[in-house]
Amino acid sequence: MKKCFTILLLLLAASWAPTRFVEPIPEGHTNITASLGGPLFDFVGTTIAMPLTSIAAGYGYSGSLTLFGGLHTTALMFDDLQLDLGALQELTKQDRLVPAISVSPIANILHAMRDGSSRLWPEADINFYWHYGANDLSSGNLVYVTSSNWFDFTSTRADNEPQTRHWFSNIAIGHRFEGTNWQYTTELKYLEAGIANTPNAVGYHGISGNGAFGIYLGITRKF
Amino acid sequence: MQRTLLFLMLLASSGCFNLDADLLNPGDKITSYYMADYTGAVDFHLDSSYTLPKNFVNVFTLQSQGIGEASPTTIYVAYLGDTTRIGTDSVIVYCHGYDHHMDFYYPRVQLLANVGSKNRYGVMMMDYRSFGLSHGTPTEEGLYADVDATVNWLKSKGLTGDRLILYGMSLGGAPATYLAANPRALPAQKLILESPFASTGSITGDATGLNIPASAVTTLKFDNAQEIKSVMQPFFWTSGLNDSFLNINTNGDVIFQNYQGAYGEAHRIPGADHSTVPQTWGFKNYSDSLLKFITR
Repeated sequence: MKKCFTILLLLLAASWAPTRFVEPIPEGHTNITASLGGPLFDFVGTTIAMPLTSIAAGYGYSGSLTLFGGLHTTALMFDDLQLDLGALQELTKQDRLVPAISVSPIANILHAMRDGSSRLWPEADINFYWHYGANDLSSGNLVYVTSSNWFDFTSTRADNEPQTRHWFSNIAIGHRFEGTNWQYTTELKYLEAGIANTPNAVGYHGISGNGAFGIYLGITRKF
Repeated sequence: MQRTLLFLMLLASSGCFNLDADLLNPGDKITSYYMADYTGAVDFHLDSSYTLPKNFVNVFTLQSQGIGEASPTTIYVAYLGDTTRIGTDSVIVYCHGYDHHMDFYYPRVQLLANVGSKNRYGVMMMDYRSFGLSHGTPTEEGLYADVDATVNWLKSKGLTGDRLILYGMSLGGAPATYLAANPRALPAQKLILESPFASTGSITGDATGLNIPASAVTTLKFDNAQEIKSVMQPFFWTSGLNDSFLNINTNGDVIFQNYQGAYGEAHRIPGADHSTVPQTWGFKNYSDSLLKFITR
């Protein structure tokens, strides 16, 4: 039972996509990203990262504001329309070792096409990022740390039980290799930090029985 | 590894998938039933005082046809006990959990057969379709139909509803609760649940913490928390307080709170995990509590 529920549940793991954008896209430009990865879990006697796929597009509305949307393609194959729609606003620029800071309000939408059930989870991210390896501090490769916060404001859950937890904190550390037309991103994410991962039908790998680690790869085409 | 590769291949292809069959597929195939002679891993072993006579262990097949199904499916069942007493004595129908097959659950059923005294109760179990050597594809309706086919066979041997006790362990709690609430071949006299889950929704919610609709992952509609509201028979529930698989607060407790019948008893066992209630509770304590409930 464990392994089967594991498969099913991880397919729509709502907070388990990589960080979409951490710095603004230049005004008038568009980036298209494809991502692969997910939380580490026990499956048939081994630990693997769930191969969840998603695509996202971002548009540089201004030099400091980017609008973006993501589609969870794996979930779509299982009759779930799962989207994340948001905006990224840069607050401060990098000053030597002092990181640039950006924030993202995001709406995470899940629509189960089997019966029309829908959910909306607001998300607020704050990103700290550093460019390195270039002469200026706005290009070159990039390292980032993201605090991603999900909110579930529903009052009840299945079986009319109270939804007792309303805030879910995720922390990500990532690296983006910058090419001329392409970007390549790797990200390690600690999901649902501080939340006990047992009892649970899914065999997660976290820290001292809390949360779950996830690994993600992304490739971005710059236009 | 084969399942992993298959799953990755599925992900790489296009189209809409439905993993309901996989949810009910144990993936643990055998070539023969051994019952007492089974040498594979089991949850616990019993000493020789629990041994059943060879002629008390009967494995055979039944035809199971669910509502809306065009043709019957062959399933394997086992009756442990003296078949000549089915017409006069109480019988426990044991609905096993997700993993494995009847051989794996034999010690549990052997324990039930000896509740009260040596070879006291007849116990019948079944491998749901696709489990063990049973044929077919697992479905929610198929699960109910397979248990009902077992009850129907007992009915043909003289069992009446006032002597039928349904026992559901983990996944088996779903057909046991459903058929206690919605009788088919026979109405059950009593219901016993060990380590039950509340609903598919409770499991999805527990897995992520978020209020995710169960319909996002499955068309299965198991809902013991609702079905138990229609169960008026006496009800016995036990779960382990250290259940690492199902949160007792959002599963067993919810079922027990929703029970609206005249008599219910709850046994939360300290230190017991999902599959270790009898052995952690102690075989004698477990058996004595069941006997008291069955004979009350």
